[in-house]
Amino acid sequence: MQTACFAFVLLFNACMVALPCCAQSGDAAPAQPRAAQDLAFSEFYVMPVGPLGLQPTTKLLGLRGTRVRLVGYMVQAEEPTPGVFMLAPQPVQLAEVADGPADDLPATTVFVHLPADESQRVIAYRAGPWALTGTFELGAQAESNQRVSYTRLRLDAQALRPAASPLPQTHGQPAS
Amino acid sequence: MSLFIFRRFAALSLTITSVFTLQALAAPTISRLSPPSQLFATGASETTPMISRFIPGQRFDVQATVQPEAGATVSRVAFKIDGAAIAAVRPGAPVGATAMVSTGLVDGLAANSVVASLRGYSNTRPGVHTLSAVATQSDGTSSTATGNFEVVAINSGGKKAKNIVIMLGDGMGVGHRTAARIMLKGVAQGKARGQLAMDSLPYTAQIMTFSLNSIVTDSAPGMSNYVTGNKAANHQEGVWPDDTLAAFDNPRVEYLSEFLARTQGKKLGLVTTADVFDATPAANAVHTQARGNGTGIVDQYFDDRASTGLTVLMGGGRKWFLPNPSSCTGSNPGCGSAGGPANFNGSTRAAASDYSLSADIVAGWGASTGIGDDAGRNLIADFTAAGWSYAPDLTAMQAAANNQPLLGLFALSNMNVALDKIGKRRGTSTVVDDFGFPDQPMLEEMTDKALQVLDANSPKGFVLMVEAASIDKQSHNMDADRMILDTIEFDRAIDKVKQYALAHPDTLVIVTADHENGGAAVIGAARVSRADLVKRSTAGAGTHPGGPRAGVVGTYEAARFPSYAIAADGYPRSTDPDFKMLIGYGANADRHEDWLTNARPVRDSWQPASEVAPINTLPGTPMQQDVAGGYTVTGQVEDPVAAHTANDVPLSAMGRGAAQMTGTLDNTDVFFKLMQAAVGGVKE
Repeated sequence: MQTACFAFVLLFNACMVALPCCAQSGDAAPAQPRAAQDLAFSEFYVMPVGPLGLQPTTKLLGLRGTRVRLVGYMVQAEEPTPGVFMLAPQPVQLAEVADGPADDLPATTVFVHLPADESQRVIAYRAGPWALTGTFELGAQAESNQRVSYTRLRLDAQALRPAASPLPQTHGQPAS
Repeated sequence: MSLFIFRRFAALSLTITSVFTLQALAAPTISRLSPPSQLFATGASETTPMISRFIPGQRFDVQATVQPEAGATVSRVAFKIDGAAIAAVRPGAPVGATAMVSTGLVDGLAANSVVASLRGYSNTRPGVHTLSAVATQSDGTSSTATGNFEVVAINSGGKKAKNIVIMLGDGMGVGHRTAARIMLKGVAQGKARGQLAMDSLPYTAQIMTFSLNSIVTDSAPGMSNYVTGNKAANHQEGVWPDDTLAAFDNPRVEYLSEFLARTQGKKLGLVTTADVFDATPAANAVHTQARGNGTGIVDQYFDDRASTGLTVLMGGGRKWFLPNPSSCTGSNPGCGSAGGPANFNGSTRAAASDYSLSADIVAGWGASTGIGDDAGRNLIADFTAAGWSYAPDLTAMQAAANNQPLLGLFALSNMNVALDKIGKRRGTSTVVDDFGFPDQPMLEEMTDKALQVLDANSPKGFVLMVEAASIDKQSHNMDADRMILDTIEFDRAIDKVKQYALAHPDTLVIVTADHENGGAAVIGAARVSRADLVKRSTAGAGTHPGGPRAGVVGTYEAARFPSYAIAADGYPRSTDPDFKMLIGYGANADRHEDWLTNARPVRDSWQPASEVAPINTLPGTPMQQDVAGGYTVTGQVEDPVAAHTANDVPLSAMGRGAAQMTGTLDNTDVFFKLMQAAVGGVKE
């Protein structure tokens, strides 16, 4: 498996700061990953949603098994599930304890699966847009959080290891 | 089970057993007896309050959990009412409406424990009745547990309410109503400039909303209690707790809709802005201990529609009605074409949330058995094949024939909220487009259509429940402006019902809530203009001067009278006027606050990667905007969202039988007043 690398993006108000891809401290220079194709949430399904449900676009179907880069928002769950979290095209806060699966999740919500050796890891919620790159999987699948996924991003090994010191919080002030 | 827990349980069992009539020193223990009673729970030391009450003929299940001594098995459980035997339950397959279940039980019970049931029992004799369970184990020893219940008399001779409409503002407390009134009508010199529709209903009561197991209820018992007359436990609807793991086998109590469909042929309409499987609508028609089991819930809407009279079902929740393409066989229409479009229909149907019922429940209730693993079922096709209209959007809903039952599924899960739907109609927001459902109806439009369909299909009357679900959901989010606009949307739906009731005086309407949410309160108003708020929202000053709090939160006379201009569509032109009303929360989670209308769902960041390098062109998310103000309100609850409260909620009523709705009532009391009006009638 290639050395993991993913872009971590923080947005402070109207300014984006992208940290460079990283390798674990002490590692040799990382191998170049396969090029990842940018995919927008707006490119997932034919809109509006049809009377009989979602219909994927040709582009979505063509990205099955490829490296894809998505920018979205981590869904804030009350009860996070080890090894997986959801990425949505907008900030979403779930109240699943009170509401169960009656939710406001957009249809395009992607289930992000952590690498196999981190399958028990719970990722803390983080606000703001987040760029993630991984292998794109398609098709209906039951998830460990009792939901059904249609699109999944399987992150590479070490993808979520700390990349660098986090930027200081500046209460929305532009970082540059 | 840990030894500690076992010892605690054993001690509890001994306590319970010892206070009942022990017929032998060695005997089985009856650790649960349903219907619940204070008599049983306290070992006869208390007889009040009367927990379980029914109207004459209302059906319910009788159930006991029996734990034999080590090495013994349970050979028989007999149930008696006032000393007279009504059933004897023995091991083996269910016999008629009785069954003894020994597998699939919860942890912590003694070996060879059983759950014995008699399904669908009813009693027509008013008064307090004694329920006894006599359990006998394999060595011949036995023990008896005693509880009680009450059959509440229905007085006859008055005029009957033909139709019952329950307008349920989920999470709507006094604060929500006050905020909606101030925003919509305004206040001048200490007097409201006008009334909400719900204010204009002539009778008012105050409702206690406690559930069977907590002072703070969730929406499942919050609704269920109104329409069963009995207390359900949190997360459960139309049932009492049991000691089996199965989600749909708990001891049931008959719903208002079921009783009136069975005895009077009334129809049922369920309308919600939530996912239709959600707790409030389901707690009118489906019996389960697991309010999240959507597949089984929506299946039973259809499978048992004859028992409930279901004729209108509208809201979100299309995801439960579409066949799960990973589970279907390929023979289902629109399902199973691997790699094809049907593999992405958005279905969330799953075997884990499906239902199947045992023979005793089927026999006792006339319920459908259920398949238990039919995630590939195309429920929309089942509805349409049964003669229902299917409306995926507002246009189709309005075009649907009134003389046919109507299924409306306007979103995959919850519908978008009023603020965003109105934004679409005004051309100022694309949120509903971004969700993929641009043509969603407002709640008053759904209500109006439901009344038309029910009126045309219910010669013997109907029960209609209309839920404004996102008053609650936006209260969880502490999104004040969306919360208030959904309350206004609800009030517009109430006005539709009010007009119907004025034209049909044999209709009884109640407006109430299942519980309060958030401890929402009008704390005052801003002392500054919108422009100033915007400036402060990015100043990072927190509680210091220049931030969103200091000099901003106007209390007492500093609040003055906030004023909102109302547009022709009936909603505020802007929810951010100068000197806007401010909302605080008594059951809040941590949040940042800048008082401005929360932009979430954020239109401009909806597709953050849809264009080349889009992110640096986007405005901040609501959280980032709030962070920029630097004002963090520390929550009193540790959850990430605000919580329900135990506050009483207001109930307003009009129509035939409404005069009963006065004083301070338990939510279960309302059931008996509704039934008095519908079954016995009332004097006018």
